[in-house]
Amino acid sequence: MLAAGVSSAGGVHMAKYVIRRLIGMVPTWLIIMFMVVFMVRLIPGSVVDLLLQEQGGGGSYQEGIDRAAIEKRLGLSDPVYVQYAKYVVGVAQGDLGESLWDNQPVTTLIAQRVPVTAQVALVAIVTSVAVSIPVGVMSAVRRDTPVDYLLRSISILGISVPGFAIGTAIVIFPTLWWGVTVSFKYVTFAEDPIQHLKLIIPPAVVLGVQLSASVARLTRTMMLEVLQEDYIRTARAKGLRETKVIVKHALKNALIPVVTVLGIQITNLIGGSVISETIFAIPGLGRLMVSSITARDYPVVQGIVVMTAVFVMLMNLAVDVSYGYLDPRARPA
Amino acid sequence: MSAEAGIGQAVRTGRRGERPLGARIVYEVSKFIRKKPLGAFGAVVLLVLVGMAALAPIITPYGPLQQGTGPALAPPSADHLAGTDQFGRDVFTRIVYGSQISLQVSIGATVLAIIPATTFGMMCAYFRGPFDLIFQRVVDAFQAIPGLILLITIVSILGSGLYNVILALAIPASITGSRLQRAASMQVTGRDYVLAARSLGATDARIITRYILPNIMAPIIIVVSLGFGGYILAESSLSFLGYGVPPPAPSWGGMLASDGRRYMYVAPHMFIAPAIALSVVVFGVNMFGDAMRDILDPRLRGSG
Repeated sequence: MLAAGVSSAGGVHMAKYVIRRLIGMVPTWLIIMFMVVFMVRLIPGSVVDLLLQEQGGGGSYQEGIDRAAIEKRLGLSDPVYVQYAKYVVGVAQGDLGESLWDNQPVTTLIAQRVPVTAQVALVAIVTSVAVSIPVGVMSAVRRDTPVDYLLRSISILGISVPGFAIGTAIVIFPTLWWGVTVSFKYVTFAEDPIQHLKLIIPPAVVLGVQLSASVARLTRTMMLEVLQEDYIRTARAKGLRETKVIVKHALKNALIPVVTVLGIQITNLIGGSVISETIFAIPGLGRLMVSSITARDYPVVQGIVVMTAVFVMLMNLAVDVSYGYLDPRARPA
Repeated sequence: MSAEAGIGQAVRTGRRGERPLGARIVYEVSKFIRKKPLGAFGAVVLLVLVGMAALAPIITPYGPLQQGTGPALAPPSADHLAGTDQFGRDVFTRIVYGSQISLQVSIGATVLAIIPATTFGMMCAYFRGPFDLIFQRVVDAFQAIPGLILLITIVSILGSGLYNVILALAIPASITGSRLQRAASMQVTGRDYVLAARSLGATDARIITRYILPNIMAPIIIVVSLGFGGYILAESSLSFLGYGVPPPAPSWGGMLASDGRRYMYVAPHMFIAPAIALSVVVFGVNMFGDAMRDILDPRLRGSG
């Protein structure tokens, strides 16, 4: 489709568009960094207090000296705007700083966690697509029948139950009813592939079910809209079988906005991972984020937010570009 | 365009005065039930919620914080419809009073978010230029940061407490919510009646409040009705992470996330009861919002 859809002139056009969009993202990145650098420092109880507590010197007489020394060592003695400027310069050079607690580079910390969260997210997306698209199509084709009402009710229910409640129920009820205990000791895929998958799949399914609710609803709406188009009537008039009309003519066109929503949902997926990773004790980005906020580990919080935001925006760009390929009418001018 | 259609319809039905008001209301309500049974169910849930909040002391003989109303961790019985918790507090009573918190959270956050969101949206669409350009980058920034992470950070800054949670829920929504209002206003600002008002010398403030605002009411109502349930859910997610409305307040999210989870093996009703209350209400509100969207603007594509 890629080669067929775009001539070489179109390719240059697209490249220019992508570059223009990337440049357009720079101000947003600066705003995000500004927000996060200021916000984490606004949280009462600074990291220095926590570090002093950690050292056990609850009533240390050298408090003033220690504090100044720690602040200086961590680069927190500068005014915030200077810290911001230094941070932006660092990020531009690919340096996200070091953890204030154990001096590990933030890039290393994030790199360790990304594969875990990415796996969960991937399984979640696959689950949601596998569930939501058939449900949405079914619901649209059987519009305003009991089947439609039932499927819509279930999908709205999917976004009405808090994710942590579904997750908790998955953990609890097998134990209560069948006495099955689930082990939450995290192992990598290399150590024990089966145990690893057992741990990844429940949170991924919880996230996937929540994701599929909105995707199913959008698929339904779009299918209903597309089914009214003239080309559907033409296809039917040609005598095509109904399944072929629906799958080849309608679904293909209805899925275009669904792709956009999947792109947008990635932000929610990362947010939701905070909860599912906490329930299922999975060492992913979400848990690192929460523990870093609690520990006031500013560079780690900043690093995760900035990397997430960059990723989300690049995904949105990728979605917009794919839009052009999927729907020639929507190609950027 | 679509926003206008909704308003036009409302004006038309409003002007039609052949039938007495009472009969017309009965007619409209029965049409709503017939056409949108799920939406009607949602409306009933909302009414029950409001009724519970208003009549809490009449519905239940206990107080929400009253300890020792029965044995601790007792399962549901005739005296305690949803059992009791670890302090012998009546779980049903706490759920009934919890509806007050849910309503405060959802109404409070909705109002606090929709007013600035609409104002920003209209101003961006009307003035365009550098203000719009910069503001849209701020919206981009808010949208790129996962919501829950933003919420945790804001609650950490503000400190815990019901009103801080409401404020924290409203802040990101007031920024990101402006985008839809901006899009709706954009369609209106180019209209002839806006140009006519301007050529008659109407001030910017007058054009925005008298000509643009009434014509974007449909998307505003849709955003409000669809966002309502989201705030209740978000509060419960915050509770789960320890940033919600703090105990001993009977917030459903808090009951579910802290005590409910802590005692779920010995007293599963402490988990199940608030989970059902919360899910039914959010479900009903979403159904109602969906029906409102269908009625006011069938072509508006919501991602929710």
